Amino acid sequence: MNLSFEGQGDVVVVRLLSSRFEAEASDEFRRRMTEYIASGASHFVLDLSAVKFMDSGALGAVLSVVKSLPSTGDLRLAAVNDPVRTVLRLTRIDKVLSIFDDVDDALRSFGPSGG
Amino acid sequence: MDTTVAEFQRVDRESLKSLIRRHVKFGLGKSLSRATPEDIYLAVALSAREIALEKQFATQRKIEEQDPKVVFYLSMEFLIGRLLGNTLVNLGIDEPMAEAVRDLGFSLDDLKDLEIDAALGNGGLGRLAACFLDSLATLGYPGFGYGLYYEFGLFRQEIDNGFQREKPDRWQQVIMPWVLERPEESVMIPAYGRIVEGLDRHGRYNPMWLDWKVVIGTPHDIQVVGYGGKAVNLLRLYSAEPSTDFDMQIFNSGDYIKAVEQKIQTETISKVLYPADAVRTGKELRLMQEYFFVACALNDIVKKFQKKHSDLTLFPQKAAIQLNDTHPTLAIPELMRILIDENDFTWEKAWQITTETFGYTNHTLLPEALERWPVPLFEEIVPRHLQIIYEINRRFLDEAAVYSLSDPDFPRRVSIFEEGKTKEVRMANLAIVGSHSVNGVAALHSELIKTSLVPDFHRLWPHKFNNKTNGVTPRRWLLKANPSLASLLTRTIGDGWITDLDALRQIEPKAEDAGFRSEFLKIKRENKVRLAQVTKKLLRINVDPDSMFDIQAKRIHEYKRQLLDILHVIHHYLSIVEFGVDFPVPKTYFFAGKAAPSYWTAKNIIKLINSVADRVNNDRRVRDRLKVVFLPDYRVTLAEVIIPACDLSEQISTAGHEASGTGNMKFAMNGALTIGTLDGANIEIAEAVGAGNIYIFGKTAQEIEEMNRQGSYRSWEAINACEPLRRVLDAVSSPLFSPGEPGIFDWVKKLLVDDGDRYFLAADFPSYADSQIRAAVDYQHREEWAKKAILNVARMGPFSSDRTIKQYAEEIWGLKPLD
Repeated sequence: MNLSFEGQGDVVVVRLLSSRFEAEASDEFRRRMTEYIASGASHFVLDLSAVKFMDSGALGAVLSVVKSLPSTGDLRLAAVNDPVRTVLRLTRIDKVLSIFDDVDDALRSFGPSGG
Repeated sequence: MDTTVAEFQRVDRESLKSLIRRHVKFGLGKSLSRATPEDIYLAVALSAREIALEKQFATQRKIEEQDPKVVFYLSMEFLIGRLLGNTLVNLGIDEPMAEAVRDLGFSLDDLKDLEIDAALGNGGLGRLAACFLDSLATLGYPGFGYGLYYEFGLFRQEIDNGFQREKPDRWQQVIMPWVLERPEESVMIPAYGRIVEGLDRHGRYNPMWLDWKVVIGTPHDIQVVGYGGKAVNLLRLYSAEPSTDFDMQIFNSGDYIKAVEQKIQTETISKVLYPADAVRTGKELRLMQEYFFVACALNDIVKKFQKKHSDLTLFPQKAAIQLNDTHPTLAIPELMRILIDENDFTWEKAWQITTETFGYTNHTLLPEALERWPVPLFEEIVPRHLQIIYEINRRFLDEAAVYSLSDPDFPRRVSIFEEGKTKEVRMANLAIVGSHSVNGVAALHSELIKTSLVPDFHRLWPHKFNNKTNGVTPRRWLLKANPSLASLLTRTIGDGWITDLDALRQIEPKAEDAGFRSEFLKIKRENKVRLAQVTKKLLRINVDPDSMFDIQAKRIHEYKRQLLDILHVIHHYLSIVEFGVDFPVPKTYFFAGKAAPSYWTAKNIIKLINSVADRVNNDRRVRDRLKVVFLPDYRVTLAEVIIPACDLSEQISTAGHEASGTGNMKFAMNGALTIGTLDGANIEIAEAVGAGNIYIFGKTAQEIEEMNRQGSYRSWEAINACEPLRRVLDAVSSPLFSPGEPGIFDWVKKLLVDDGDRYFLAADFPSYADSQIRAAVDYQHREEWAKKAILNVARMGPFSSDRTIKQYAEEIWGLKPLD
């Protein structure tokens, strides 16, 4: 298991447990996220504090999950390490996804009611 | 007791001995009594590196404190050659180190011969980059070289049955004490993938780069020690590593073969240096190399800047980036990408910063050598950069539209894209549009850029165009390569010439001093004896050091006309054996140089030279009068032996084709007289040394251009009008030089007659032959010859790369030396 899910109010915190977010983990990520979204969840924080490397397949998975969210939903990144942040910046994906220094900041950004 | 550098008050024989001992003992884990010469070499190199490190840290501290503007020199090639000798000379510890090594029972000269010659370049362009780094550091300018850490340098050349055979140059197999790997400063470089156009969080246009692969660039630093240790700069070369952990891939996915293939593909990026002339369009790996290295460099340069400054608008005030030819041109869209995509600059501001930062040096007038890349390949490898280039072009053509009113074809000619069956990116156009300065490398070349190569751009932006005549470093090419002559010069006028080559003017009066001439000739003879010994060792050919050494050493190319040279040698040979007409002096003709592996004609020129050598050297009728030698595997180390031994330097390219040449400067600096055309820097050399001290022949660039324009040149007419040349061509087609291999040289006649003689050999042959006679007649009178040779040395001041670098610094980069 490379992922953990934890509910914090209306927001689901998704944690990557491996230092590499690549093909295998991204398949699992996509599958599990689809299940959560189907069950009605729409606000997510993706905790990347453990991730030191992320390939383009994993980013593609994150983007496709964001696309599948309802218009009121969002997925926000938290605790992004420097190498991953560099990749997000140089491919301009940081302009599409909101990034926060840590999980608490990301949770707060959803507001008290999670919106 | 062992010594560390910090304990040095001064570097003397005893302290160096102690330092070497320490490196043998603690660095290599051996006792001195068991150390091999290789161990001592390593210990000596590490000792020198340690001393240089102190100076390197001092330079870095100065850069930190003074926050000066810094130049970054981007080049696909750095032909640095061996480093030990040069480093010791520049640190000023050559003599005490030789003594220390001798005390330990070894010879420093022998140890220097153990060093690998890093051939990370093809020829002039790469060697120029190395000379420039030496001058930057010697003059105390903050400057860094950026390039690729090739696993295989330029191939090793072997000769088999007269033909060139290419062998891999595995220079990294040997421990390189000069290279410091810096994995902690690795950078991630995305490539391939596609652009998805969408909107950002605020609803603005946001092209995203998806499905890329990441390659890791790992820097390898090599110290560049300035003479006198004033500054120690760095040459930073990147190797490509796969981004994913190889072993993990194997265990996780179980797909071993795929994992291995990916690893090989990624590492291939920095695997091999492409030979010149083999690089045409369509080589995916080459484009990937060009992109990878500039992306690594720009990433590093911007990161360095941002450590001190938060405002990137100040970037051009603190950084100048020079593009050595078009190979690093992707740096322009890469900086644009960094500014716009990563730092949210507007296009206009980003463009201003970019154009104020870059300068571009052109190195060629051959239209076919100008880089072009198919757009589909760009789209595949650097999709985001292609988008940026399209936008650069769109805005540029808008700006240039005013000219298209009177000249509707103007936009097509200047566009960065060339329309055709396959649309192509014209790298030179991109480099010109994106730079504030465009320079040629010799006065004639810079003129021809403006009038023939890119006149439209000159019309648009005359202020961008300027000339920076190339130069060579006297530390490598005189002080190190020719220590006896260097010592004579220093004894006569002091050592100021080493960093101020104009000071050599002071030896001019010595041309009239019989004692000085005698010493000068003695040194030349010693250098010729040294080359004769190397020739004997490599080829088992005896050459007479008292014969005139006539040398052409450079990359083999049709425009450089080694073919003209060897045809004249055949003329010389036939004159003796058929007509009994000999030259006034015995001659030895030397050739050296590599041909690109895919360049058929160049490789067959080598075969012809070797076949002529076989015939001539085994013909008793010309024994003691004429010898022909092809020295295999020309490289910096061999050049250092060849150049000081030369009497007559062959610089005979078709006028209007050689951008500058730097070999011409190295030979003249070492007291050779030049036989040459009015091409490249030959023109400026002729002006400097005086018409009586050089042998100029042949059609001018203007005459050649005129004949090309009018289509008036008839090579067969020129051949028919020249009886000696006709005889030579008949001999080449006969079995005389190809016993057992009939017809193998039929291509020569075809090239000169049927194919129209593109490089005007027949047109120039008569005047070339006349000049050869003049030179040989003059050589009979050694005292007079010595006067001319001394004047050549004395007047070489303008051809120091220190002069060139000062001009770049003051006129293009706006750079000041560190205090």
